[in-house]
Amino acid sequence: MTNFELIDGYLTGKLNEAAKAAFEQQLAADPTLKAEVDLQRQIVEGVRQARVAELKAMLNQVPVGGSASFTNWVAGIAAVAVVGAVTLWYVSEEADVTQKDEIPAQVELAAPAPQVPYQAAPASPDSEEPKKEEAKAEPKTNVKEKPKAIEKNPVVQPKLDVVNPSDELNSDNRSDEKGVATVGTQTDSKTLEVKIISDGRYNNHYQLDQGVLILYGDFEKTLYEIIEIQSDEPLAFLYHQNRYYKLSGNSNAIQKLIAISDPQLISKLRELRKK
Amino acid sequence: MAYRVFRIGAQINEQETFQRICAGDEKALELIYKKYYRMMTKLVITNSGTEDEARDIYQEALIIFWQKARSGNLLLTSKISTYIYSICQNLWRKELDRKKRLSHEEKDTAQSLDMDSPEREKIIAKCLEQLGETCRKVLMYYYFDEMSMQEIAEKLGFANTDTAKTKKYKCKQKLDELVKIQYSPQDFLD
Repeated sequence: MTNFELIDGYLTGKLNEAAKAAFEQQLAADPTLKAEVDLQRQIVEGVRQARVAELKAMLNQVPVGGSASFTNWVAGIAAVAVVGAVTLWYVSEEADVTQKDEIPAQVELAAPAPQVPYQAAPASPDSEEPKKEEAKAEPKTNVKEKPKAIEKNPVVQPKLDVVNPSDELNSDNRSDEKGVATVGTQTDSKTLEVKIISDGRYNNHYQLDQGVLILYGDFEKTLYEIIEIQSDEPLAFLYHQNRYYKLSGNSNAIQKLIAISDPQLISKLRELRKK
Repeated sequence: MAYRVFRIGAQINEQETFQRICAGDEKALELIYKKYYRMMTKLVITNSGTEDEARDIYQEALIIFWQKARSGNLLLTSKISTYIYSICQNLWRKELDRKKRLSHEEKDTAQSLDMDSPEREKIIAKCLEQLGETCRKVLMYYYFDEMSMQEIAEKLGFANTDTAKTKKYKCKQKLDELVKIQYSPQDFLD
């Protein structure tokens, strides 16, 4: 090994124990070498700091709500979601990170709103692969007839999003038509909030009340889609594992998910999803 | 009639994001940054920090997470957010301690361990800039992100790992040269 390689190996912690000990002995005996190593350490540290500065500069470019304009925000989320869907299925095949269920209490305290999907989506320790054919499809954002409706609805809502989109919307001085109250915060009435409870009490049940949709069952591990139709009478459908379910709301009862069998309705919904 | 379709994958996103971070995907880092921005900055802000301090701490924490994940030594046993949150907590606690000490010891001439270090950093940053994009990336990926030569070759489109190795060697030599010219003689004497 040349001196250059030795010093580099030493500073990046790549020397094995024996080589490291030998090098340190050499270092103690040779002031010139020591000076060179000190200089090299500074240079390496300088390179690292430069990288940190570069990453920080990159992060500073990321719109983080508040100051960012709403249009950018929607575009950003949508773009991210598309990338996510495209890379989803192959990553999940090798993904093997087990997650714990718990989240420390202080995290919850600091969370901006109860919509933070911690409670909503307790991670299950065993991860299953999502259905490939479901993951392949791209998230779509479509608005018929009134393009301005896009401003009213955060179109894609990635599950990990801690910052509640409705905060964004409200801070944009939008008027809330209904102002559905969930615990502690205001939520945009047009956006269904989804929670998943998979504690085994119910399987394939749901509850839709005041803009909050609770899905009971194994929804953690596979992709699902919510199709909301906004008309005079709001309609919502769930697509999960190749089946469609109609979600009728405001009864506050926990209802069983019953797959839609009407072929006409199914093909219509399929069309909506494909668009 | 307006309608929208949104799809949600719960657990998958977390894993996917982590995988992407491990693979050095900066876009995934940006995604995380955005997702947890409020939550993490709130920690600092509600504990007597300013918004700027909050952002700083959060960015530091995220970069620590990035480096750990990148180096392949991070076995994530909690949610990403939990992990980053705990780094934020530690960093902010340290910063608060430092502030407290400073205000207590103001009279004993605040002893900075290494007054020159920002100066040196600046010199090295300047030299790095003279190197050109590819060299800079090679060195940063090697020393900070701790990428293997294989990864560097892939990321920067080199023919093979040997090219990456040679590149790294040459770039480092060049940087050393530049720094040695810039450094004043006293800088060697410490």
